[in-house]
Amino acid sequence: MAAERKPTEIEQLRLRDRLARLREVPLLRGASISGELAKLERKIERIEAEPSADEIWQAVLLARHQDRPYTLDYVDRIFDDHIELHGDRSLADDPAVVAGLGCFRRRNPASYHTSNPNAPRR
Amino acid sequence: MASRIDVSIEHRGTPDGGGDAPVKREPNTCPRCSSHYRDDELERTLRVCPQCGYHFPVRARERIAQLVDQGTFVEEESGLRSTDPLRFFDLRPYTERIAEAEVSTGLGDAMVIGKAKIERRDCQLAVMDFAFMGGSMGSVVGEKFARACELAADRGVPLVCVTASGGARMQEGILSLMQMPKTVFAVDLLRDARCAFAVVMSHPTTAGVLASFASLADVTVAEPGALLSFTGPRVVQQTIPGEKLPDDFGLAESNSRFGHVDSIVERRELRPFIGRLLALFADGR
Repeated sequence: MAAERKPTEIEQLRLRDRLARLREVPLLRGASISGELAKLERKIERIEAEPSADEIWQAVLLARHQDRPYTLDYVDRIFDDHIELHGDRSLADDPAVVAGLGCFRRRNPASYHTSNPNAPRR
Repeated sequence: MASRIDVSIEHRGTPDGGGDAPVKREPNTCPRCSSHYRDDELERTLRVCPQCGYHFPVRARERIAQLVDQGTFVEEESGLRSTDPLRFFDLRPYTERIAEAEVSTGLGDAMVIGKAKIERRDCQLAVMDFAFMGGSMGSVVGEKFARACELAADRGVPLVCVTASGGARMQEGILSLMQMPKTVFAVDLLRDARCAFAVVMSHPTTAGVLASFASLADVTVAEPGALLSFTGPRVVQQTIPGEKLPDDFGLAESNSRFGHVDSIVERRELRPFIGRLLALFADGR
């Protein structure tokens, strides 16, 4: 189990250990020790706020999720109307590119996007 | 002394030649699924087979009626006629063939141009008719297309062109080939005037027309299953006896894969599609 612990967790444990030992020190020069205590507690808070290994992996899985938004989903949401133009007039309909004409806030720009060629085709 | 060139006509695809498929073709029988329809049924379905989606050819007038807002089409330059300066004849005089085509189609030549509104947006329209001598481009078709470009440029409206053509009109010889650079220049004029140009390629769009203005559009749309090829599959197959051409050779679908076409649009989607396109073209106007 201990081997599974990642660096931030180990550091967190080490800090907690130091914190506990500092608390046991008799309060002779109180001001300086309480300053040290506050610093350590802030440090622990910061480490705790960092995402855990599980959370990071979850984010990766989410980004790779089958039903995640692809280029065309963004295109649909950005433009009021959009017509995709497939022809490059020279070689092939490139599945890695989405290009066309769109209507964006009453202007009609040409649009050009890269796209995952494995995205579900519509 | 006028010299005469004798021509012989080779009949290919006749029953005794190949003998695999029946050659007799009913105009209202679907060649793909053999369903038969009354004319008014097909007219209601925009001449698309309800069974299998096969797109029957559409005549120019009917195409215009399918595309434009009712009553908005005003035909222009309808009086242009070919003058036959070469006094050409093959088996029959060219003038006779033209007169016959005019009587059977009710058109002056293979293209109809005019102004119209599609989905409430102004545009210039140029529609070809394959029934008039195979939709071939002679001096009249070339001139009409060039004038359609000029009119669109003058009015500052987009040009929408529906093509259906077997190519240049052989009976006008070099005069018909001269229409190719002429129409290309006309498109350039349209471009200088910053007017958009959309082409709908219907079956078939081939040879001289494909090799000139039909390929120059800002947006090129094709009807499904349309043959869009400089040279048809039968002739190309003869040049490579050992190999077999792919089944979809020269069709809209293969053109789309090779990037020559922007979108394949079914006929019943065509009008709303062009409407959206015209709206997207209208930026800043």
